[in-house]
Amino acid sequence: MQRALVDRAKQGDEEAFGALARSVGDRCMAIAFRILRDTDMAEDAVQTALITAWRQLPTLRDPDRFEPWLNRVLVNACYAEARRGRRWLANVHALPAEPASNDEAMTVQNRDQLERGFRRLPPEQRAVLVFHHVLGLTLPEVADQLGIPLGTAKSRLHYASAALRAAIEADDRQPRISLERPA
Amino acid sequence: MTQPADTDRLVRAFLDEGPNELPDRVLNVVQAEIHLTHQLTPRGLRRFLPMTPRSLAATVLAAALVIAAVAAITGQLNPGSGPAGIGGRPTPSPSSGPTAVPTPAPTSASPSASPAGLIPPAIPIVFGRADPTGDLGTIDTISASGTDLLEVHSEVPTVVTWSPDGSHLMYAVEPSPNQIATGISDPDGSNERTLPLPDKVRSLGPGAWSPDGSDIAFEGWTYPTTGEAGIFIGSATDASGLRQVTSRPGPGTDVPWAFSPDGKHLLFVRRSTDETAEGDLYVVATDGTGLRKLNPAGIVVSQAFGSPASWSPDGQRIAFAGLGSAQLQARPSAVYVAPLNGGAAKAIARGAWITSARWSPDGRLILFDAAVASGNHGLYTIQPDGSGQTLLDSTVALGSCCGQWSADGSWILFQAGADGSADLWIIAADGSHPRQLTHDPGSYQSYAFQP
Repeated sequence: MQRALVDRAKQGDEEAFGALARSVGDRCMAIAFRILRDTDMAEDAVQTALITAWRQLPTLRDPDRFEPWLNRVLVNACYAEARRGRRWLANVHALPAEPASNDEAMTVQNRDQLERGFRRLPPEQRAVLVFHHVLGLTLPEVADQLGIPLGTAKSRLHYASAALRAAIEADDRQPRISLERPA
Repeated sequence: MTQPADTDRLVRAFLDEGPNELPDRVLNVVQAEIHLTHQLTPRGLRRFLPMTPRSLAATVLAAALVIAAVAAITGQLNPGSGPAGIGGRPTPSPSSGPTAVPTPAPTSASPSASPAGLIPPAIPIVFGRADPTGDLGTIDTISASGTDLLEVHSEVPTVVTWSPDGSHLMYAVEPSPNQIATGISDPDGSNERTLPLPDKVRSLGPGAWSPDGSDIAFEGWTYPTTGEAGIFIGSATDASGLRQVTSRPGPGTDVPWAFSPDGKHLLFVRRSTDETAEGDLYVVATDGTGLRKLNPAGIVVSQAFGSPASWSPDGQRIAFAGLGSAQLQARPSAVYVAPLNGGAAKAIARGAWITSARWSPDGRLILFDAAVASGNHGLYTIQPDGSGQTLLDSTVALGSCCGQWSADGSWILFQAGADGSADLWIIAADGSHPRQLTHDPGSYQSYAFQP
């Protein structure tokens, strides 16, 4: 089904591309929001990515690789959006309107710590985290889809994970330090 | 202590939150936009395709939009009055693909109509252009008079350099998925050749050409083995006689920037990691001796914008743009001048977001870019002793940066527009008669007049 739409869209069929965009739009939005942490920026990035995908689709050699190819286009759009907007620097304290974690261990404090830590990460590290943890890709798959060497993917995941761990532990330590101070 | 497994679990739960639906209005915009947007054609064909009626109509529309946009700003070329960030940037063309089409009439897009006699001469210009969302792009040439646009190479990294005599282009090629090599061609793209790599793991990317054209300083690194990176110098003909000039372990690379005019020294940027375009500026003798860092402590240079440093024509001094620590919306920075033979770099101009510093061919001026009070960006000239700082007024409303001098110092080539959605412009050295050269908003990573 998707293969047929890609083939038609590659030939300039706008209707086919529209159907394709509707089939992948929600997934793109989920990825973009998780990288950018901002709904408006994520919508802009998805819009840019889909239009770019339309333009560049004839250069896609293997139609069966459409989704990985689109993922890469989308991530590049997220990078561009991040650089263009710099809005995430200004709204560091903004949180998702309706946190809906099902993980009982995810406390409000953890969420705040992670939100702050995540917003400090460069977009390239965020993308590796999202592809690995949300899309469930292995690191070689992440490297392939992002078009980066495996070592770079490993390095970005390592630094991002360490930074988030440090963000949690830094906040964890603060109360203990204050308790150890003499009255 | 939080264990890695705990962190991973928390990160997964954290990333599980958020919207999972794309609003229909976004899809509707996409559907409307693709109706106006041309698809690229496969590699190798674009240059030869004739203009179709649809692309012709789109080009006419784009030209009309450009004229309207420019007309709107001719009355607001007053420095500081332009809206931050957008200035007079032409509206992106709905047919912004790199299809080889006749160049829209540049004269009509000029903010101030060029009088007869001030039309830029037909000096060839080379530039690399990529879409903001793409890794690869095209290398094109165009005359400074705005004619003869030609796509020279497609689907390549967009870094390109003229040979010192202007007879060849140097650019990056990917001979295998994990290697970068240096390509050489004639200015029209013919007679392409890829300089051989010494083995299956080392990359030798394009860097700087020696003044006599005989050698090239390559940006070297190894992958996938975790070897060291460094600069190699070898023959510009076949990369023979390779010798290593610098060496660094770990992440990051040394990016060759420019040989001194006498060919005895090399300026390069030592990137701090693979993830950034920023690093330290060094000078080293071409035999590898006398390595010296030029930027002061707490200051970095960025090679992301194309022109961070240059030699004085006599080869005795180096001008460079140094950036301080980032702040929310600004970045304190300065133009520095450093003597080749020791001594601290001296700041001759200070401002925010200064990213380029280019010595004029006659040595009298240094061209740089900086943010202005309105939040927009413009070009300045200054004498090397720090006196006579002059804002090239007409560049401000355009949102301009990163200028390059023509060989005779009469013209300046620069990019104008928002990051990732800019176009190339040309202006007389006194800041008069700006003219738009390209009408294809994108990322212009490198561009230069033919020497």
